Amino acid sequence: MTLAGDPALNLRTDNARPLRRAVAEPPVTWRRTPALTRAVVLVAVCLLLGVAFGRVDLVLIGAPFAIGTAVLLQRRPVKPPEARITAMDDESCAEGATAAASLVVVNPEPVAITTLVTAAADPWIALHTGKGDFAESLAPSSGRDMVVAGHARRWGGHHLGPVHVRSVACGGLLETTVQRLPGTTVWVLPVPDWFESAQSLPFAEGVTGVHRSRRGGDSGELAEVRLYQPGDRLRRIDWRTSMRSQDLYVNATLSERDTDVTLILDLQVEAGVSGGVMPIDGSQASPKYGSASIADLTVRAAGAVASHYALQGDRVSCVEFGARGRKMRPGAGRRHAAATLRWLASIDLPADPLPPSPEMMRRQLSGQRGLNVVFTPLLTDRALQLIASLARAGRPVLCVDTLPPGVAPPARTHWTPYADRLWRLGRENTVMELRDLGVAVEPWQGAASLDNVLAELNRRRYR
Amino acid sequence: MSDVQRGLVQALREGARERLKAARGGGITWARRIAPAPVLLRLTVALTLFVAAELAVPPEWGASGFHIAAASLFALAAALRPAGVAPLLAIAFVLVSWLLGGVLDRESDGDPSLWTAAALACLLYTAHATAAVTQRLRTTTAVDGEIILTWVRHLGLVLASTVAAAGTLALFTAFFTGLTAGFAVAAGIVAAVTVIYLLARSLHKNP
Repeated sequence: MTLAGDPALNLRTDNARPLRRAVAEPPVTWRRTPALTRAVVLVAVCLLLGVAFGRVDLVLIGAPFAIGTAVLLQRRPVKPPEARITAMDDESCAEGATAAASLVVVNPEPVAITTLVTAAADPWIALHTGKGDFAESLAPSSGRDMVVAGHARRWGGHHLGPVHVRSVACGGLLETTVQRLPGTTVWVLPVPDWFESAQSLPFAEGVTGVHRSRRGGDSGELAEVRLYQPGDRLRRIDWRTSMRSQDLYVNATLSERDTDVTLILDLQVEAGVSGGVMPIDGSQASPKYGSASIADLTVRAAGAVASHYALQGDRVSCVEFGARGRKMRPGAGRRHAAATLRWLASIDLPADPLPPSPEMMRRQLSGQRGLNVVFTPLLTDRALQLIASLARAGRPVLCVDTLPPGVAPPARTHWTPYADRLWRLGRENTVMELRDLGVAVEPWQGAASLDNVLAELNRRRYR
Repeated sequence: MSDVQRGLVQALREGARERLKAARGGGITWARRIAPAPVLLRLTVALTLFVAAELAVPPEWGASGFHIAAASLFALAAALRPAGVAPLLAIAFVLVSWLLGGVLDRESDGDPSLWTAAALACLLYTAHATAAVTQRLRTTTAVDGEIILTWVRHLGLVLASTVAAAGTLALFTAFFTGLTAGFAVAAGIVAAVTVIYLLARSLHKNP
């Protein structure tokens, strides 16, 4: 066998996309349409036949075509219009709201033209009627600002485009070639489920916050009544006890401090079908969710928990336990909550991921004494290893189960339901083992769904 | 049936169901997004071409099933594909019908009326101009009102000019019948060549 005929040399590379030369976009030019050709042909045929056969009626039939074409072609454009697309100011919108991009078309010629815009978008952006496919009239030597908009059906970075712009002039007798605008990316932020927790968190050891700490300080929570020491404030003196005991006693209080909340997002596997959200209309306050996948539940639950604690004043950080392993720096406040939502919107699950290492993740988290909230569907051994090692290290771990309730394997054989049942029994067993280790496992159910487990964690901490 | 076969059948059934659902969903979204202006414009193209085809032939031809079927076919093709060659074919069909009908009519009872030709010219030009405006519009394209206004204004101007030209021609045929045939043919040829030259020049000149 010759070297050239070696089949191993003819194998395709791993890159699925065949190699092609980059094609430069041809410049936009004006050209005639079939309508102009038709008009000219009809005029010629009618006039020639009319003259040849001596038929005045044929001349009359050809007359409007000649007059109309002459009138329309009186003023013709030379330079093609310029179009450009830009994202709106903030480049982001909420799930269920409107994702929009601004399209500016400028007509440099002193002739009125018509611009046809045809836009495409991600499957998760449903273009509004009249906002993705429309024809607008442009006055001579003017520009026009148009909006390409659609309903954002799911969180994430979605591509609005490509947008095809074609202009028509002289009543449809001249047209430009299609100008392809690549479009723009619109970030759709997840709308977090409403989450409200009245429980304070264990290990509140920051500077100042809302959680009861074990250290003394100024606040309303009474710790003990003790003898007066130099340095105590006079207004802390408990006059009633002092009168009874003839010694000066003060009310000592516990301080209120903030804490670190670390959200660990298990993004190794995806299951379930994402149904997106329905549009928000005036009658309803919150969007109506379709079915959710693991990533949906993880992102929305993490968004809810992060927003709640960040707005409350606690430092919230996020870590991906997945192929990309991104981290979000700790922070508090409204801006940090918005930044966290933006970080969550750019979560992506690669199709063929490298598995993350639980050991490395645990080492990244070392030195923190705050609350660790793990959002996981409990489908991989690595996630279980991570949770178990965190719990064994004595850290408070809260495990939010993000496996969607209705998710099941497709029924391929009649053994599928039995296999599914066995698998679910095994999973319940795993959850019980985690609870034995001191990990609070709770499925995500929206508002106040974590209060019971947080109270349990606090009891264990202050016992 | 083995498990593998059962799985295959199940997968095929699921795929067919998904495709059906997607097609139904696509149809529903199309029906929801459909815009009135392009549909009405296409309807105008079809109606004018059909009426022109009926007007171009003697009534006994026009009533025949074959002619009605052919006229509807051409008109529908022009309305569905206004960007292609269909409008030209439909107009050519009307012209051929008009010529054949004229030959037949002359055998029976003399020349057809000049005003019928004027009406035919108006109808054909309306179809042509409407097809030119519609050629790049899809049925879901939301059309600016200004575009329709411009189209109506242009159509009114050209149709009025056509009627005026018909009136002039009627005057000519009434009062200048005494012109010699050779002079008339020469003047006609010069006029035709001038118009064709002007149009061809405008077509080929770099716009």
